Amino acid sequence: MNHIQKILAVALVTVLVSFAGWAQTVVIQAETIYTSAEQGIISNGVIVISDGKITAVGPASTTAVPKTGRVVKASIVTPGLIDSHTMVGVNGQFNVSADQDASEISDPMGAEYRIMDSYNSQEPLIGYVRKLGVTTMHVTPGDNAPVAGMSAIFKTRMGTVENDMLDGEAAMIFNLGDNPKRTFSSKGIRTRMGVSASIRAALAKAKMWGDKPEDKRSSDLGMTALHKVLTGEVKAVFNADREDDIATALRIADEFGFTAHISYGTEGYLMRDQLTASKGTVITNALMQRQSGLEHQNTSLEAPRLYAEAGVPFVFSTGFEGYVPKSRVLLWEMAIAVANGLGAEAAIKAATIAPARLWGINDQVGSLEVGKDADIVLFDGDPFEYTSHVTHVFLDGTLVSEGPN
Amino acid sequence: MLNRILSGAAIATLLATSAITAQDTVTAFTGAQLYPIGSDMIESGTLIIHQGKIVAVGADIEIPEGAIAIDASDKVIMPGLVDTHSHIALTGDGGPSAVMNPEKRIMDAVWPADPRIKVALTGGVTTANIMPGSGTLMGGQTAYVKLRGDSIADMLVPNSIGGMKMANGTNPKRSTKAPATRMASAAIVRQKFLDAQDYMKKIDAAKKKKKAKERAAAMPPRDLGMEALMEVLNGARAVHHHTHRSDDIRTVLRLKKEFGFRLVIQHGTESYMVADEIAAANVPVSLIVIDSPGGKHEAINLDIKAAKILDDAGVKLAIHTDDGVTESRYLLRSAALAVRGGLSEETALASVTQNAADMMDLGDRIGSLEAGKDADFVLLDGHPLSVYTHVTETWIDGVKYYDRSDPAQRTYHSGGYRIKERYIANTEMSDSKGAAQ
Repeated sequence: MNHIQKILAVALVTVLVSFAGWAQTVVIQAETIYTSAEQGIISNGVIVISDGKITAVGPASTTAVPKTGRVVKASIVTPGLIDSHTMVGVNGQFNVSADQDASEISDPMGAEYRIMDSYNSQEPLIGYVRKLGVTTMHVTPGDNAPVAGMSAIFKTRMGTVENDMLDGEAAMIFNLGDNPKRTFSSKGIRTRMGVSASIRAALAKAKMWGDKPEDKRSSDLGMTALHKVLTGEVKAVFNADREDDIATALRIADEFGFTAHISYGTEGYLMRDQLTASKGTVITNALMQRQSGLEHQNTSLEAPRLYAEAGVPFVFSTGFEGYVPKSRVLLWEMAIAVANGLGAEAAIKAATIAPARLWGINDQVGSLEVGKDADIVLFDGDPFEYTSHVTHVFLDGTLVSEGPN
Repeated sequence: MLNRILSGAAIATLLATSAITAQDTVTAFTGAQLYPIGSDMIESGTLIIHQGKIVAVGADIEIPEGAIAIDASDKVIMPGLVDTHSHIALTGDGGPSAVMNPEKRIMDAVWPADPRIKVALTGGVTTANIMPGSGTLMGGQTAYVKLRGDSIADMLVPNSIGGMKMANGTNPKRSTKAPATRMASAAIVRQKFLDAQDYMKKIDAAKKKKKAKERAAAMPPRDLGMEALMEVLNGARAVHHHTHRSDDIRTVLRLKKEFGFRLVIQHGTESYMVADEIAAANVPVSLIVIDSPGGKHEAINLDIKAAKILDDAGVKLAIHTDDGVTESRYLLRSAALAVRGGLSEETALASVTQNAADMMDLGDRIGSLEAGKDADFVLLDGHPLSVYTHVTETWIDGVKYYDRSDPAQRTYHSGGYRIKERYIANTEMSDSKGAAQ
């Protein structure tokens, strides 16, 4: 390549880059915008996206929009949805051992496991949940081991693990109830008190480990990870369905001086006062989960409404599905909650700004505010109606899905 | 003690009397928006029932003297929903033991007291095809039931014999007794049908003998499975065939061509890929609609547009729950998701009523609001396909079996029915709807 060719090549690249930059400016016009922020619900609003970020949001009448850029119209717009508990990305759609990597069952004490090392950023189910509005996910180890490992927060970019991950140490996952004792009965854990004791023993060991001066601590992956729960560096999420299992989680958290966030929480609506007092957040299971097994039989479609009325902090999730469908759809689980009494805005907040705050990523995602990532979902009608569609999903300002879906 | 028995008997008599009264009295639901199915929606009309049957439906119907008039002007009324594929009330008894099970009857495994029947009623389901599972090539005889009654005898739709459940693809390959391949699956089924044809020929030949003694001597030994398969071969019993992948669907069409049985394709995940072939074979599809693809290899091509594609190709369509894959109470939701995928509302509603009834050979009896049909119907507080709509009442044969206004009954819809008293005390019932703007 001679000198002139090089100059021409650089010039061409420059033109292409600036063209791409121009293409990334998008103006969204909507009848209704749920901002999940101070502006609340905006009627006849606009959102301007530039270089992956939101650069303006407000009423059309008072918000300046650039003359160039693609205009996209919608009936209703919400921030990108955040699923606060899913195994999409680690449990694949084929549902065979080759693509199931959420549940390590070789060791009941799996604090050293990191879900990032199981995450397949190219799993097709990620694309499926994304086209129905999910732009961020809290991906967790499975619900088998009493101490199951470290969860992570991903954007549904479908790039690489490192590129997609917002937080590789989101929470330590603990499991109570039927699953851990069934999975580890051959290893001697056959009762709820056995599961609880094994978790307490692990935490006690981590406490002793952490009480040593740093230079005297052994190089132990599990202890290092578990100790972060005790110091508050990492959140503790307990998967628990039944009332007594939820109570056990709160008891263990109290004993070791940390906050327990309850996931699944099927019967949590029966103990709203205790949950409020615990300062934790309930990560609700999919309301349309099958009521098979004893733990799910008291699932209530009214639970989110009851949490909202009682002031129990809660966020939406899809949880775990072992068969067909391989994943629940977050939007449709929210819809069932709304159809059973939860307010629409409360539902949207519980899948946007509330989880963003819970996971400590609210400076980046969770609401439609200037400076935040342009993760935006567009609908052609009421987002919760069965017969409405998701028409566009923007992720970091890029149109990643175009409907109707 | 005696008092208790007496009062118990008195209550039982009273209940029985009130049920009879309900049926004996002419009842008129007035001012309701009616979806009769098969004819145009009526913005404000009257439904009149008497002795368990519908006696009149229409916009300008005179209410007979002495009739009880119920103001339903804030309600929608549509026929009771028909679920063509259900495993409700089986509690683990859906999986037969042999490779081929034509002699087994699901009616012998149904638990009428299953509380999930009440859960199904809260979604408006009044009739179901309860089937054995898909773990074997031929699961057994299905039962067409109404979701009421204390015994299977009460539940069975009068004069119905049910269908025959069959399956191919992944599920029957899984069990230890099963074939390892699809070609073996097909071969086993073909041989069985050939055996049944031979059995039938022997009986026909025996019947032609002139003397009773000769006839008896020529009759083959009684075989329960063969008897059921004869009903399949002579058309009295339709085959409900679990099948997902397009090649498996083609295999089923091939078997139908060879043996001439009446067929309903059940699930049909990839049926939209071979919609024209299915239409040409004049075979109806009872489609499963679920929330996401996958869970198993043959379900990864699930497409929300499937129902529309089948309907456009002229395939007769039903939509089912496969309870408990989807719970019965979400049957209308499944139909609504098909509308999200492009299906017309009209076909969506027919797919869980008249079309479904037709696939169970019950189309003359149920499936629409028409004079002469069973008084199986549902009251709703809004459009049948809206997420915000709740079923408020479910009636079967002119008797109300679900009433949402009763908090205890409502727990079967909301959840919490196993802890009813606590649930009602602990939760403030609310009918607010948080609809988005």
